[in-house]
Amino acid sequence: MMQRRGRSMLAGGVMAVITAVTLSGCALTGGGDAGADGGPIELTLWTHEFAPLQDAMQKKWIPEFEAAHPDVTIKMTSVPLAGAVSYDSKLLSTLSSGAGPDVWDMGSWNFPSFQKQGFLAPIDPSAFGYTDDADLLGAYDPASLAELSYDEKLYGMFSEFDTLATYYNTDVFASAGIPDLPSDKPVSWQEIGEIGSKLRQEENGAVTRTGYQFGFFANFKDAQWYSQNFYTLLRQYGQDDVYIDGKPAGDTEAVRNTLQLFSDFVYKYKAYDPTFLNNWFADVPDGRAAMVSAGTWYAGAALANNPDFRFKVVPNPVVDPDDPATYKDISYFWGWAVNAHADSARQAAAQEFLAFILGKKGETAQADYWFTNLGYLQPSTAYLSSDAFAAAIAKSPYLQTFIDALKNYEVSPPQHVYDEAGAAIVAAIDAVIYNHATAENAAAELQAALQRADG
Amino acid sequence: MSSRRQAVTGLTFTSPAIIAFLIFWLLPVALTLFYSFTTWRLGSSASFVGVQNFVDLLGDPLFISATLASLKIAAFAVIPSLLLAMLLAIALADPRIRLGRFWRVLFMVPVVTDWVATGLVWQLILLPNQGVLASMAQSLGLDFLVRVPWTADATLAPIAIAVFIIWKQTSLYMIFFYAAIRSVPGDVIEAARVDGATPWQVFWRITWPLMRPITVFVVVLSFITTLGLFEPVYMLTGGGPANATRTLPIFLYENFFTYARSGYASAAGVLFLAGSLAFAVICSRIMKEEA
Amino acid sequence: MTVVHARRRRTVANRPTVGLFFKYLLLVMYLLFAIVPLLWMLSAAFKAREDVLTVPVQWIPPTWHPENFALALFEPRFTGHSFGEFLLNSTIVATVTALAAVVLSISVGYGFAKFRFRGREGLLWTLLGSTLLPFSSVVIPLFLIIKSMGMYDTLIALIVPFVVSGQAVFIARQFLTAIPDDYLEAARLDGASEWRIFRSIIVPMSGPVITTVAVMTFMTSWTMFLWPLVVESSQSNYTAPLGLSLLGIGATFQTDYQVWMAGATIAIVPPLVFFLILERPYMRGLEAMSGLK
Repeated sequence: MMQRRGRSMLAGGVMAVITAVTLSGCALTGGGDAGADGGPIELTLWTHEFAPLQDAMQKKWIPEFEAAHPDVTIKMTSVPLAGAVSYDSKLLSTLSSGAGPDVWDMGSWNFPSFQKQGFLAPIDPSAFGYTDDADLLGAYDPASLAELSYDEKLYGMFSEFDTLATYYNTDVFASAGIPDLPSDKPVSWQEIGEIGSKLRQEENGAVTRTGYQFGFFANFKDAQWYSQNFYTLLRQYGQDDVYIDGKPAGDTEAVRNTLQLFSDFVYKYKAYDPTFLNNWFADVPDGRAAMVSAGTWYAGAALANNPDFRFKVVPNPVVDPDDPATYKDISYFWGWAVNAHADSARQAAAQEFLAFILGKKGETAQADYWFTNLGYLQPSTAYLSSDAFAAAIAKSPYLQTFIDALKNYEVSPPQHVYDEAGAAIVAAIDAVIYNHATAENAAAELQAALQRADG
Repeated sequence: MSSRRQAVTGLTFTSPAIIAFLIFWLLPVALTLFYSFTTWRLGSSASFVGVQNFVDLLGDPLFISATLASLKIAAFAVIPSLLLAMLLAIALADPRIRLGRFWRVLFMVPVVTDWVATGLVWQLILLPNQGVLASMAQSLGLDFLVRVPWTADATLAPIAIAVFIIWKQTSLYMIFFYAAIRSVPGDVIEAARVDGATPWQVFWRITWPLMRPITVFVVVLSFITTLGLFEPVYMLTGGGPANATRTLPIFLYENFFTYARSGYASAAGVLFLAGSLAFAVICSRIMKEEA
Repeated sequence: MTVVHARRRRTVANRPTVGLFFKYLLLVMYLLFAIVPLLWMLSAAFKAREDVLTVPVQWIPPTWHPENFALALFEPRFTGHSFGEFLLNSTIVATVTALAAVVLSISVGYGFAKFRFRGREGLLWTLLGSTLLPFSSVVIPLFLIIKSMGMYDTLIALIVPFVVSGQAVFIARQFLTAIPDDYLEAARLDGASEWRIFRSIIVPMSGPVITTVAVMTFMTSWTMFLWPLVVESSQSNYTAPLGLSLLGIGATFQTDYQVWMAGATIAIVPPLVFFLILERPYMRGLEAMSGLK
């Protein structure tokens, strides 16, 4: 008797909850839906947050692709790069949960580990108009493919290939009477620091202009940029990585020199101010900063902020302009990837989409669009040797500096970005810049952190 | 009603709680305990390693500094907050002060907001050079305050976070203390006053001891809650300049999601849970002994 | 539970004193401390971008830009998703959680209040104790459970773990204990079934429980951040605080502060309104929680 009533009561309660929940709609189960073969497909696309890229996608590529493929709709999400929860960690956690976007862009440093964990689908040569994998691989300079190719297959496609150079606001230079910097030969960091200290301005205790901006700064603490600026200097000081022969090498003279330079920029030259609020794409164009270290994509974003921006691009500073051994620069790229766990229909659609925005074999119009509008360089041999490319350079001569850098500098990617070694590098630089730590102490701490990460 | 019938009915009515507790609390704790003994990494498989994770944790300066950072921020935030809350509760309880509902509601506004929206506001308040505080400093001629990096300096960042937490939570504790003070029977107070006791004596000898249970509750609640706060740190510093504010919740999150060291992070979670539990038990023991 | 103080005559002990002055001063200064940042936020929400961070601080916007709110709500600066969608998600989740919590807490609270069974005290204190522990220490395993139940990246994941909360159960138990036992016994003697008793006596008398649990659960659900951060991947499932976290210093290098402040203002409104309407039950709930140990 009792049990029956009790049970029905329990059932009633549980049913009430379930009803309430399900009544709130299937909308609650969110997420992407599976595309039945032949039925409409909804692709999820993730990119990192970068206004020109987002605009290019939203305003041109997605509408054009959807018009040409009426059975496919694309839903795009852009995730900020920086913060305690970075784009990279979002990617990792969602992909390793078996979910994740169908197609996304990400930094070169992720490709090796993501490929190993089976997240990436191999690029289908036929979708891009190539006869086979060898044909596809042959479209690029083999040296640039190190992080994209595995077992003779490509696991991603280039979105942009970058090096770093220095942009400066010519109006700011002129008003302070500072002569133009040469575009054929780099200057020393010391000279940049001294120029920076001349251009620094202060008013009522507030900094109103800084001299030089690194890629990392007060409100954009992105490990990628700490790493890129760090490795540039580290290599110029003669050391390739924070590991030598697989062993931690954080407390070396080269590391100490690198950290010392960051410290000097803040405290000796006062060319870089860690308290200065940075709006990366507006500060230099608006004259609140004089110089910035950036890639080809910077110009487009900067001009969008201030169309009257007058600038010049000069080669990345080096430790010793008279010693070519110090002519080192970092390269990195962003690439597109397809989700290996998506069903075959969505994977095929994703590859179609990439072919559409990047161009099939022999097509250079897409690469030309990316380069002329965003400064996104696709290092395919076809494009680099085309007239369109030459015309683009002719139209925007500042791009030549980046192309020259590939020739004049020894260029290679940084090894540790978003892993624990990368975090240790961030901590070391932060210590020197914000905590007034000496280069020696910060380097010792870096070494200790690397040794712990090893375990 | 027979005791058997009582038990069955009672259990039936409370069954949703039992089920939910099992699934969403007991099971997770058991799982985290299990994974803390493995080298599991998100995305790959796990292998049993016994207590190695715990040994590594206790020797990991980052874990130690995370614990210390959590404790530091908790101390900076909870102690002033509780003192302030108590003073406010005493002030509010003064019968000569009659605040209408409008004012009482205003006190509670920081409490009923979320951390992110208010975090955005405090980011702009604490911004050097251009933020609200910096701007006020300039207007007052206090130039040295203008460029102080409240959230970027290793010594100041924990204080900045603590101030944010104090701003957000104090009213909540005040309500608890106020309720406690008001629950003291009026005639006891009257009697004491008639006997010539000063307000101060009344408070110390009568009100305060009677408030003891609630005080302990609030101390435990506030401390443990603050230790486990992820949001204010995330919004203001994201872990702080070079690990200065990389507290335990941030440490847990990063190890699990960013570095995918899931077994390791689980071990840290176990230690964190155990520590909180121990603190709560110790506090209530102390209370029981003094009573 | 609350005691009415006897009307005091204006005695020596009642004359305005220095102490009273300081008490007022303290209360006023704290009130300013509590409210001024939010007033600044409100004023910044209406400003043009360049007026937000000025020297000196301008409390009245020099030019009014109410379109900032429309921008915050509808501008797909989160590409494809607008803040309005996030608000909707938050509202759905908080409301459903509150409804479910109300239903369940009355049932569970009744069970604890009016029935004796072995392990009752232990279970009750364990339940309440479990909510005392920091959420960030259980978020990892909870994530694993939800993932294994297939609820990763859904809105349901934001609801289900929170429909039974120790707080709500405790509050319900507090209130329901006050219902006289004789009343229930009489009904039983009349032959009413337990279910009937629950439906016809307990539930109608649970008014205070319903409002208190509803408002407390709604607040907790709306203001959650860490859990949605961990368990949501698609932006279409983002809640308001999660969406807001895409803004801010350190998250983005765009500096449209006026839109941030407008978004923050909008995000604060729903729980604030809920609180204003159900302020008494909310305070009652707080007091109930504390008036126990």
